[in-house]
Amino acid sequence: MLDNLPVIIVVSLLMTGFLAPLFVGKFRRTTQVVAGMLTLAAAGASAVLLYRALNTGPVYTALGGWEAPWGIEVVVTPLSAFIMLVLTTIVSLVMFYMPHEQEDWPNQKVGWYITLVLLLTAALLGLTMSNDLFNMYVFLEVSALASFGIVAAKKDRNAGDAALKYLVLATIGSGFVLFAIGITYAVTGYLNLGFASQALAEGQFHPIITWIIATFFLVGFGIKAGLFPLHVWLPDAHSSAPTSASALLSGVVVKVYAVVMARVFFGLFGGAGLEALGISSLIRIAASLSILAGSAFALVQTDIKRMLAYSTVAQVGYIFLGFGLGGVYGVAAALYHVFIHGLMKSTLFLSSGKVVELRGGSRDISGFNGVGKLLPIPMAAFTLAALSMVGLPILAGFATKWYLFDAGLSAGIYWVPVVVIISSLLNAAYFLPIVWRVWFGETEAHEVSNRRVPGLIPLALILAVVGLIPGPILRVLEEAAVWLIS
Amino acid sequence: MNMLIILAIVIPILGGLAVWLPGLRKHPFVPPLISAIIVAAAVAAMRIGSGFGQISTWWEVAPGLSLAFRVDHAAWLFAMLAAGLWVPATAYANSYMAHHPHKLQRFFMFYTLSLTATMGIALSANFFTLYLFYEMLTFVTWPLVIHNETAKAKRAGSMYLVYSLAGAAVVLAAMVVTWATAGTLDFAPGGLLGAETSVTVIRLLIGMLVVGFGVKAAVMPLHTWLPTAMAAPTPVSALLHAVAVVNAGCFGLLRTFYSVVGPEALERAGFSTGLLALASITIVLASIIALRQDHLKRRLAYSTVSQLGYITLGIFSGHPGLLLGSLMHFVNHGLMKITLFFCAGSIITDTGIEHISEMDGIGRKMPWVMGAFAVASMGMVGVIPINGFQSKWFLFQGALEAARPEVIIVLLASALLNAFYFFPIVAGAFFRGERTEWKAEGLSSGLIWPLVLTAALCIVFGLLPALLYPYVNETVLSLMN
Repeated sequence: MLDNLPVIIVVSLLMTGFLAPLFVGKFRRTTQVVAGMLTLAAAGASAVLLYRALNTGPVYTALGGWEAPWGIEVVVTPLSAFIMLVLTTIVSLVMFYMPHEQEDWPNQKVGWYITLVLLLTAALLGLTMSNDLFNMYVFLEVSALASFGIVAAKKDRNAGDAALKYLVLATIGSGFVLFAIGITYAVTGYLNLGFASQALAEGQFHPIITWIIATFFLVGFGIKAGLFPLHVWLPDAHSSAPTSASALLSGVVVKVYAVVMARVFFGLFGGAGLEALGISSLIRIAASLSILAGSAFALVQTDIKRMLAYSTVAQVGYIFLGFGLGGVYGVAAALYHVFIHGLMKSTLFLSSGKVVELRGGSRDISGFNGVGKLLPIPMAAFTLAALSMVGLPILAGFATKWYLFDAGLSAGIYWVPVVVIISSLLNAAYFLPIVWRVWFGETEAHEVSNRRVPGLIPLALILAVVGLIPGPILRVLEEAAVWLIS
Repeated sequence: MNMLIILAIVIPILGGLAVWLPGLRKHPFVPPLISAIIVAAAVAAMRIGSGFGQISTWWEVAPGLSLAFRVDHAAWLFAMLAAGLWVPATAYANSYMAHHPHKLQRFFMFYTLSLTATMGIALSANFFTLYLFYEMLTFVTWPLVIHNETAKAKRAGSMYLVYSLAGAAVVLAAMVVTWATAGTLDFAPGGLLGAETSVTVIRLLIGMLVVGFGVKAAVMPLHTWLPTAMAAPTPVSALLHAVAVVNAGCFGLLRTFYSVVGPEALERAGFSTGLLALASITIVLASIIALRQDHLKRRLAYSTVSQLGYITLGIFSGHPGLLLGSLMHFVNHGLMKITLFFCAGSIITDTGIEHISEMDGIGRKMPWVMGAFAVASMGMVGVIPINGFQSKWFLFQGALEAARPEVIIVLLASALLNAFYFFPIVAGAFFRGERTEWKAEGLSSGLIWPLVLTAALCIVFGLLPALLYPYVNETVLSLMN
């Protein structure tokens, strides 16, 4: 039973996803709740898998009884279990927010939206746990199409354009990944990560071949994860999507691609191999540019959602930087940031979505003036997440910085602390003025009929607790990092 | 001891939040005043209670980074000065703000939260805790600087924020360097850097600390935010200049120089001459600039920059004699400068005068205020028997012991300049005829007694050196290990 649990999670999400449009007409509320409960159950199952993986080692499943390298192998290491847990937790909390957003949507649209979100979740879960390159590619495509769908769900011109731009670039990204997979298969004869890696190590190939494989993977996943300078689609897509879609895309989706890339890289080449190929330093440079450029672009935005989207580009940079530095601390920093950035960004998108709603759809930053008095609890959550983004101590963001410092200095790369510190100053420069507007700006008295933002309070609470005591999570992640590196 | 520390850190947070209670809408100063009194009592009790020097760890924030507090000699000196002055400062702020009512709840909330940040800095037992509260201090004093919300105040606020955040970022970098070289962040007498640490690393660390904490300690050329921050309400200026912010910068330097870098490494770095020159330039140059200011608060601000030079001079020197004088001045300057700012605030409230050229004859209208001003100015120049004399006396002695005649010249020059920019104000106020028509409605007692109290303390500390000297001497011994 437990061995099949990973597969059961994915399959049940896929199946329910397709059933949603059938039932949404008559049982709209029930469908929404069932979808939310299902993702919550998936989170519970991921927690079980994480516990199991930490205590008794990874959970292997050979699909259809076909052993690797012929069949598709599913492996849940502590690393994949943790990412699954983060993914399903955030998705389920956003799911509980969705009915609030969908009040005036037609039934049919609600149904298909749920389908797409569940499909996306299933695809990302599959992507995380698969140990087979071609299987990964399939899930990569499924997730790209599902993301395209939820971006386009908002029927306005901007969303349509952004979705199309996203689709084109995501397809190019998948093309790069497919090409890399193709070369890997051609030279090694395997699609299974473990076997392919062994064949690569033993095969004495010309370094240019391994280098081409690595760079194609890097470009492909880089586009999908919004790594600078391949991020151009991200701000448009993430800002024009509906609030829940922005929270999901910025909060979890792009990060899963980063983690999958790290799994492929460490799985195929190993940390030392990456360093020798020069890929690690390439990742570090691209990540640093992402961090600095993303923050710099965010600084000049006047549209709150675009600002948050650019901030995602910068924050994904932190994750890539952690992977690029390698070592237990670097990888643990990256994984920890996947988690807390998911919490922070979803909190920021959900709470600013409420402000946009309050201001009749205007996304200008001036709309934040004085909203602290109108929406005290959502704005307290916003403030917490914003200050945490800056990385102030005893808030969640600080531990990432600290681990990156440690990883940078122990790897002898002394500019890492400088980049991280400059980035937190830039974060302060664009988040603090908004926080000031929220609490001390002037606004006309405004009647707020509904102050609730479902799902926001749990997100903010988890964020606050993690900030105060990140120790236990970091220790789990250090263990997960060991699994990735070795 | 742990209980007292919890009181000192937590009570101001509760007091700050309590101003929003519906029943206190008309009297938002009550919780801040009560918390200031409780904190002052708690800090005073720390001296009596046992457990001086014991570390109380609250919790581990991340592996290797814990929130920990400890009362030792230097910590108690700063905590007592700040908490003690906070009580009259809060009372004064209440009377002052009654004449300038604007967002009082917000004002008093941040006013009181600043007390937590200051106590946290004073009582921190490791670099992380110090950094945490140093960062917090910026965030809770910034709303006070831009309190009036005029364009000028907002500019000053942005400048303050940029300087302070950049400074804190450098402090963070220094913390990373410390962690990477020493492997621990817990303050220890004698420093954390081993004998094998290379001179380059020590120099880098010292440079970062001077820049990081020097921003708040207003070491030239990082001082520009301080005169600009005069746009804040006067009680805030008093707080920034005399009690909390600038002293936090000096204390940060003191702590990190002697408990992180350590006197030995300090000597090995061979920076002392350069750093002394920096402090000396700050002292003389700021005094010269102060001479040219006609705006009273700005003149006081430059005087602060100059006087902080005395304090940083002693810290930079690494010499016990100069350090003794500088710590005496740490306390004495606080007392004198808070008096001067209280006076400036009372003058502004009663007559609306902000410029020195309009202050002729004002002494006869408000004898208490200008009397206190005269006492504090004499202290600044170093006239017996005001407390400022003692700081200078010990600094002179220290300079002689350290065989640094150039420091003596700087001190003499500064005393002369101080006389030039303070005495004309006092002389004009008392002996010149009134040149300007002003409306003086008479001051409420709340704008008089705090400044009379602090001026009286200046005299008491001047007459009774035994109140301060033995304790400061012990502090220096414990710091120099």
